[in-house]
Amino acid sequence: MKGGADADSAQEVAQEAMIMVWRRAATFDRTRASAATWIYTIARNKRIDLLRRAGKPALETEDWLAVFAPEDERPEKSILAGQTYTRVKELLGGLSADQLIVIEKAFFEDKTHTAIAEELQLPLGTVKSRIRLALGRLREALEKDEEHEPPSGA
Amino acid sequence: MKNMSRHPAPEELLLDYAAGNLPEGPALAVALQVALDPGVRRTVERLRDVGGALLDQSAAAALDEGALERTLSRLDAAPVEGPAPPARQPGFDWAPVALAHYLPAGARWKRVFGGFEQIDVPLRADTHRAALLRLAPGQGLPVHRHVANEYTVVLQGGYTDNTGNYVAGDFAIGPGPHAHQPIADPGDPCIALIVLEKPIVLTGAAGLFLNPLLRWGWL
Repeated sequence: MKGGADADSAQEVAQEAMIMVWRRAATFDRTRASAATWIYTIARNKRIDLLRRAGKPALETEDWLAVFAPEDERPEKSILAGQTYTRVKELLGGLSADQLIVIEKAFFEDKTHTAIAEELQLPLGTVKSRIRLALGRLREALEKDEEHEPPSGA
Repeated sequence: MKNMSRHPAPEELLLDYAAGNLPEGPALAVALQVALDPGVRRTVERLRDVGGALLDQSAAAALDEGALERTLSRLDAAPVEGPAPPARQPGFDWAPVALAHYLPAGARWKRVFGGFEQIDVPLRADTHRAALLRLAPGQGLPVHRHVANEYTVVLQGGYTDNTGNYVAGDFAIGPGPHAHQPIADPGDPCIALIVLEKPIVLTGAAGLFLNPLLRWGWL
């Protein structure tokens, strides 16, 4: 999260994120996302906002919050949000080192997949297939879990 | 699963988006597909879970002494409610909320060379240009090829080109290997957001006089 920001900016992002967490606490819906995911999203949006003020391109924080407000409700799926998060945490440990490093660079060093390919001196296709394999593994495992879930309300 | 797009944005682009690394133009294009497509939204939600899990596992970094106090002192001044979402403009009921933020007040379709209509979508970043295009059923864009990345999200109706059929919620990314000529499907007019990294180059006779216009940002 700190990537791309100097120490002062990182402090500023942390403070603004804490204030946002306070302001938006009432809207936090734990059936939709885990607290860590929610706070991550807020901190990420604040960082984007700060980059924008520094003249770098980004969408407004409020735009992102609007983006994440689903336009159609799928309550039967959202019950699982907290469980999904716990499962994602476990599943990350099962990814190969090659796959994990690409994902970590995206989240911690704020690099696009193109920049990651350049840095690791890998063909773009290799980076793309690592991302797709990693996400494929997560999706497969989560969908398998859902098959074993009893239908909600049962 | 209902409404799942046959043309989702590629997953590496969704990772860039979820981690907050996409420039404004492509981010807006992905945001619109996220708003329209439950399947893509789920993928992005999963990626947010990944971000949260990585954050949770990473070593804590110490804040400055006094950071808590400064934060608490700013709390009193912070409004509890965020700003209201923008009002939907009449005639733009097909526009997802994220796009409504970008539509200039009183936005109106303007007829452009080639017979289709356009609304410029102002971006703060100057690396990309964005515009809404509207094509009447059966109407086509001039044959063109792309020299740089182009992102398209269909918001209403649909179009067909040599790569397939794209309907509301579908995402297309260029450059493809071939020149293409999208033609709007029957039914409602086709409305799409187009985000261009650099001007496109028209092939064929029309290109001779249209390309200079494109380079000047007319299209």
